[in-house]
Amino acid sequence: MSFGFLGIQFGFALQNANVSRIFETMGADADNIAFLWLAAPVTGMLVQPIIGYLSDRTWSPRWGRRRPFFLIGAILASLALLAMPNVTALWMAAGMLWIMDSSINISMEPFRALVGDLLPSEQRTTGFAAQTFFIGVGAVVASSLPWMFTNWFDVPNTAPAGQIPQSVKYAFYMGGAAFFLAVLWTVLRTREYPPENMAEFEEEKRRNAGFFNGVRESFAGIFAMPKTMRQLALVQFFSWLALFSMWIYTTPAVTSHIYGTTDATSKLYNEGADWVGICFAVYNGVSAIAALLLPYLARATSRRFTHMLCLVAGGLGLISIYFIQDPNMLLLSMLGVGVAWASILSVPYAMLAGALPANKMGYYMGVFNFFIVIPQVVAGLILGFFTKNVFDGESVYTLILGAFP
Amino acid sequence: MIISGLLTLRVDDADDVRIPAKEPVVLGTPAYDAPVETDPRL
Repeated sequence: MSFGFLGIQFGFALQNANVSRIFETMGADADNIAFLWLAAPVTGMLVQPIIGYLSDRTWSPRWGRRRPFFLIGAILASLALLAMPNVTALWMAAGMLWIMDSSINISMEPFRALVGDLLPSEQRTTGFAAQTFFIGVGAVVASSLPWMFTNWFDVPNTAPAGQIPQSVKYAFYMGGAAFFLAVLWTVLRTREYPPENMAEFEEEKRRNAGFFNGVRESFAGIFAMPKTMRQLALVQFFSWLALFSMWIYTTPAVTSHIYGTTDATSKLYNEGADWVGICFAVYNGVSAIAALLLPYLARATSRRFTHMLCLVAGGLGLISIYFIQDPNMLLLSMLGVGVAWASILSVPYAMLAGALPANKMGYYMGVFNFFIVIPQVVAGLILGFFTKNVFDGESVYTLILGAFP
Repeated sequence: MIISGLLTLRVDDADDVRIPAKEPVVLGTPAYDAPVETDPRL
């Protein structure tokens, strides 16, 4: 049931690794890129609860509840992945990112709810850990696709000004196919259970029919989050703040603090930046393995203790970057980060699923995404200020600042 | 991450199998359920 997540991660990884490159190829300034990227999280924040709400109210004996949304999202996302590397102007690239991100979100949101729907409490940690395993594998493979095409199949990774290199185009085509096929596997191979009480389900649907009722109910739901969800929201907020600080500042921190250069045109800087790419691949690989072990640890201790242990390991991993002088030692830091990443993607969802009413599983899983998007916006607003005005441009301190919360 | 790790310990995880179940509710009281003692002289 979680295999489709492999395809979804192909979409996200290709998007994360190449869209800035496509924007720059189409003539975007470095300052504008962050603004163009805002479309992605804002879209996710709107789309996820809406899709969750709609899928909670869907039932078809043939297609189930969540699977129609997987399929619609997969078709749209695959088409967007095919179109993205063929854009010819910046506005097309920005519009295509918006369509691609919305489509991936349509497919992704119900996957979280599906685990909550189908698995009993004691198997949910394993269910979400399986998703994390596929996220790790997908991230490593999809991020490396342009590199693989260039180095293994001699596909050119350069192109004339204003054109996307062949290696990136092929990577997107392959990503589109992988997305569709992996999600199709889940759609065809998973059976869903009908609502426990069909008459009550239909009555509930009738009572809240209509667009405005849906909007009202959605807003009311945000203020009526279950207690466990509110507690977990705080945990998620701080964990993701650390992650965004890591994604934004590891390259400048490592190149300046360990490689001793801030000159982006220098050979040393690019060596450092490439090494950060390897480090990120390593933490994703570690997370895929750690995900397989998490259910055992959670069973032997508890989910709370497991998540605490993993987050502390991640925090210590980030802080250790400050004390490192040999770049190879960064791989040890990434061990901690990988373990934390594995837990962040699985354990809070397992705890959350047990606290949600079955008929609102999709909606609240979508709302839970707010606590990923809000720290992303906060990181964009405050971390730059801290780096410039408090740490005098030394981004390694911003990385450490992120590790504590 | 460290503070959020510590905050995790305060989350109410209702499904945590480690949390012992509450004592089962016992209906009746020992006074009602106590066996009736018979007088040995009878």
